[in-house]
Amino acid sequence: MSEEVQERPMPTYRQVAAKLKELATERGEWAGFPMMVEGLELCLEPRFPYDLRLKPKPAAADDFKIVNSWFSSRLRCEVVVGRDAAGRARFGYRAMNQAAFLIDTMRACDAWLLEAERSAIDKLATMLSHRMFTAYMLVGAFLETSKRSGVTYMFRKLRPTLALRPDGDEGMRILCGLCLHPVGYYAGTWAGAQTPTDDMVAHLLMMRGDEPKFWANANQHHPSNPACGL
Amino acid sequence: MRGAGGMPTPPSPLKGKMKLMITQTETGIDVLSIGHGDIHIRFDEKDVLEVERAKRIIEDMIRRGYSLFVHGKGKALVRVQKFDAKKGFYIIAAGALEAEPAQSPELRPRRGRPAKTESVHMGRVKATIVGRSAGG
Repeated sequence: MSEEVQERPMPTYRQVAAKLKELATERGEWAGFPMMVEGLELCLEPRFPYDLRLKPKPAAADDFKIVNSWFSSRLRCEVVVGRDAAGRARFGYRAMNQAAFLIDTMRACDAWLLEAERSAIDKLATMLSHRMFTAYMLVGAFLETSKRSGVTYMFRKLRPTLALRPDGDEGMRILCGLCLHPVGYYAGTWAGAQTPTDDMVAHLLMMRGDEPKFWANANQHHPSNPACGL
Repeated sequence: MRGAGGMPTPPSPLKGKMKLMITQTETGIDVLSIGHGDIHIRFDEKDVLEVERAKRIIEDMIRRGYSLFVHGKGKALVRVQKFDAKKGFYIIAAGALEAEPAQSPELRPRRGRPAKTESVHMGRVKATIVGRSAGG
């Protein structure tokens, strides 16, 4: 029996993604089911009804549960505070490497379906001026200034949206990078559960439709933080 | 169709875009989805069954905490606050595009009349829906 199971070919990521798409439609999960990718930690929004994460490895004796973490621009790394198995508070530093972000973001491409990305691009095309859509297709980013706040946003593919304000006569100051993913995202990457352009459409909709909520829901990265993608 | 030198003219990238610009004025519901990219749900306003189904879908999405966006007055995109299923109206904030005057939180009145709202019929606008945010 076990030999038979071993002989069966494993489904490809694409096949699993297509099956998840079917299941989501059957179960009325309109936003869809996120895809698990080996080696990447899938972070789901807290009210998501299904646990689709891969089983975590058993905790080692020296592991500790993270209680809080923040980026230190002085130390150029993440400071992590947690508790070990005995309940003692411990802290440590976690290196933030932009190259690792880049490579892991590439690995997330197994999670997306090309037809979904195409459909998202079609959607984005209906929302932008021809010039900005061209900028998106050629550069992977476009600009829009909010009529409410006057903040200029640079929406970037697979990177947090940059919030900019005029500084001085000609310059612009980066306020922060706004990172937001509907449904879920892959930790340590710039990739969300939705296709890259769908994430951008979500950013654009939230900025245009409810800017304060966009800021409240997004993770605000300091420009010096490698997670900001600068 | 032949271009200069008798070579076939490649299809214009604008051709598809123009088609998409036309669909922009459509009504219905668009949902950003992981597997589909963008789901289009269209319904006939005159068909009672289709309208009831669309109402159930909208109510289900609101119950799940999804964010709905529709175009209000002046074509400004506004987030839907409530949905009146009986009448089939989206309730949105009125004048949401106007810039808010800069005020410190202490000076801002906490009580008073509720913010003005306006309603938009579900059959006259296209709602675009985004799933709950997981942060980033």
